[in-house]
Amino acid sequence: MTLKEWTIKQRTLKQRLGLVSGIVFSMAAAHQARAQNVDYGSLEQMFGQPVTTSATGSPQLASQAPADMQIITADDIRRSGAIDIPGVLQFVSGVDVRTYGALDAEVSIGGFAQVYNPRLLVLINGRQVYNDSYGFTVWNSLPVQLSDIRQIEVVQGPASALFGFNAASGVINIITYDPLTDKTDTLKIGIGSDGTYVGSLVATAQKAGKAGVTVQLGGIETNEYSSDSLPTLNAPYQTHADEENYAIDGRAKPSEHTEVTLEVTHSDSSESSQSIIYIPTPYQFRTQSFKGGFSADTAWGLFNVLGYINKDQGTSSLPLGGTVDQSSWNQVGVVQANDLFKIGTTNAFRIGVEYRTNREWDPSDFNGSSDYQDYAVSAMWNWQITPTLALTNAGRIDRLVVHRTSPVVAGTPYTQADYAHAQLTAPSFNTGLVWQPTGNDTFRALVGRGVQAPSQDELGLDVANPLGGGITQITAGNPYLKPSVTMNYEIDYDRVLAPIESTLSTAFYYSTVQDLLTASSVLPGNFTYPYYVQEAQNFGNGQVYGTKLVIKGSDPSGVRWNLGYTLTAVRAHMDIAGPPATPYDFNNATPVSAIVFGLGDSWNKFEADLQGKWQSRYTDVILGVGAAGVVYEPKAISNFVTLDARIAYNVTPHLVVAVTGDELQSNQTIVSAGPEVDRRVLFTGTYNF
Amino acid sequence: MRKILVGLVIMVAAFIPFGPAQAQVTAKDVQVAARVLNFTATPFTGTVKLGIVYDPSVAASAADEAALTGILGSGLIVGSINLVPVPVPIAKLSSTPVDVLFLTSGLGAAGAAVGTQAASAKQLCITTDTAATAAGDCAVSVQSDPKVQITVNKASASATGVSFASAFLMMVTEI
Repeated sequence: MTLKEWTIKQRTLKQRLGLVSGIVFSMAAAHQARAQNVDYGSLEQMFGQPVTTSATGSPQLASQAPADMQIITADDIRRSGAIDIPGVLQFVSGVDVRTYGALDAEVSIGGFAQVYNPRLLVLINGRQVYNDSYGFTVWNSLPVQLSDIRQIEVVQGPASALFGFNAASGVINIITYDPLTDKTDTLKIGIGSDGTYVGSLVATAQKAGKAGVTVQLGGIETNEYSSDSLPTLNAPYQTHADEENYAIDGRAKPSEHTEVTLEVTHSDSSESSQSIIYIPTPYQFRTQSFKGGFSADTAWGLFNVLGYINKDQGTSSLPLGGTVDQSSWNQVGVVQANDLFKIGTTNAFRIGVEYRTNREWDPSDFNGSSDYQDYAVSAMWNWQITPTLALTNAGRIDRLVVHRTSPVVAGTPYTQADYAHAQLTAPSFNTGLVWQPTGNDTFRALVGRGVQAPSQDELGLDVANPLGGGITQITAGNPYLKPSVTMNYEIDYDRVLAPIESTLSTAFYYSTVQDLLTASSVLPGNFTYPYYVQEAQNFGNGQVYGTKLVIKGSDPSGVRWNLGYTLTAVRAHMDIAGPPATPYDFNNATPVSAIVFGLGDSWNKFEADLQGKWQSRYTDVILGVGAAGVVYEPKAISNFVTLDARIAYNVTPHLVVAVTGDELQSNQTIVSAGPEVDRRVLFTGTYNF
Repeated sequence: MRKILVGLVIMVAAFIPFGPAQAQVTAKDVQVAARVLNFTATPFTGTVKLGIVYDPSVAASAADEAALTGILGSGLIVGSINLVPVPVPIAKLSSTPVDVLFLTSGLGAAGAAVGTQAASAKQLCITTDTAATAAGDCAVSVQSDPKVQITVNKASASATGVSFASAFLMMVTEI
């Protein structure tokens, strides 16, 4: 059939819309597809490339997804020698990883780098591990072992139409192996410099295709980096960092067409963390989660229901003129349901609903508790216009309603009624046109609107701290905040370069960000005796011009290579002052240029890889003591190179020993306003049983 | 300087579009075809007799049969499936018991008989001949070069009583 014949055979758009209007009546007869749910492993083996659902909610080849996406495979993770996920992400083009402690890192995509980055949503198998309290991710609390990760999907650009709030600049979705179809049995132990010990165990019991359960547990222990380079204000300094976590993931198929999922996770971590006021702070974080899911492949499509509860507790010891211990609890409950179905041969749809309730409580921080509920509906339409051209439209509307039953403290600029009636409605969308004129060329035109909702703290925090002299400091959430909206316009082109066994990926984007959000405790306040009031604000707008050029390849002999260049130019217009009044200096907070490179080879029983990154200078901030008192001090970070290497030897088909070197370029490197990062050497043994 | 020129030539060559893929069945095509069997409503497992339907008098068809028989040997294990070849001359189509039909290329109008047999025996038919799938002679066609492409003829699949997983259908071209 020629393209012309194929095109003629398709119905006109008008006819299609008519079809959509009759959707309810026609879905039952739309197709008789009913078998398995999304089986990443089998689909990947069949198509010879990674499969993802992170672009539209529908399974797609990563190369065909209407999104700027990079997939980090299990092989990539193993060869990196990294001990945690930020260690893997630091060599991904377009991802800015900033180290603030031995186990503390901040990750951002698309500019506006900041600590407690609220603009990047992080999920494990669709469950958010992003914490809604301040809107951030505690990377060393993620309850997942690197050896159980099938792939990490890195989406650059807003994706709120699929994932909801906070997928404003991007999404990182971590996909683990499926205990129903994948058997992962791995024990890994390691010892290294700086008192580093690592250990992980992943074991799977399964009746293939019927039921399976994977148990994974692991931990890391290491010395913190030296605090010698930090301002004297920042004592006491935590000298030790550790994390421990476990997860139990069970999945079963009661019938050929249905699947149930149950998951329990727990993590404990302790580290020196760069706090939201840009000061190294001893921080303990504990998470628990419970997740259940059901899916069925029916005549009405692939139907999924997912529910989970995340419960997090954070305790920090702010070293501000003595130690101030603060503990808070955050609990989010989410129920989402969606149906993915196809009408005719060229139109796929997904419709979904979501309910989310978030509550944070702390006897001091909230004068009790604060919570909100979010109600969302979403839809996606993928239209295969011709065999080489596809249009995807996705939209979502969130309605967030703030509730507060606890009384406000005296001096708070808002009443209880203000908090009780605060609500916001935020639409988001993604549109993507993907054209593949040949088997080697892919063009994408993308437009997206992402939404960053104010965090629970920005909406409902309410703290009174006596400062002495009869003065009380009030730190208040602002119930009238607007969500921050990111618009992204992007053109991508990918090309398979068969003669050199490589793939070239390019991306050119322009983003605007409106109504930037800042937490209440960061900005200077207003003083009206006896109250000094700080509150959360929308404080400005910005634009980002970005480019990404990546070439990656390998040959059958085992040699592999990658080279990537990223340009990220931020132009922010802020309504507030920069340092020393506030920590915000977005025009200089992200390196404009970064180059990632890698070279590796596998031969006989050996595997060797070298990864590196050069990034241009940027300006970080730290809270310190200056002549004017406690102020935010800009700290210029010169351009620097990071080099990591790993050499592994397969002693037997089951046993692998490896030596990994991180930060090989120098004994100590200044990478941020945090402590200087040490070189680390790690010896590991991995037994795959 | 010569190395630089050679490098430039390679880089330029890399951007030149490639011609259409050769139709002859390849080992990679077979791997893809076998994986398709995992995504039927009742996935195939164990030994699967693959009936290679060919016409000895048609060169392309005979070449496909020879290639396929050579690739499969006495049986090729792909995942949970052991794919065993059974050469089926088109004249003996209805009298040779198999589990799945594989339609070789080049049969043209004669391929219609395969579609009729598949519908009658409720057998899945797979081919690398996309024209045969477009014509409704075979429910599924697979190609693996330069990239994997799977086409499902919805009417043909329905006629043979074969249905597929929703996730699978989201990733293939349906006609």
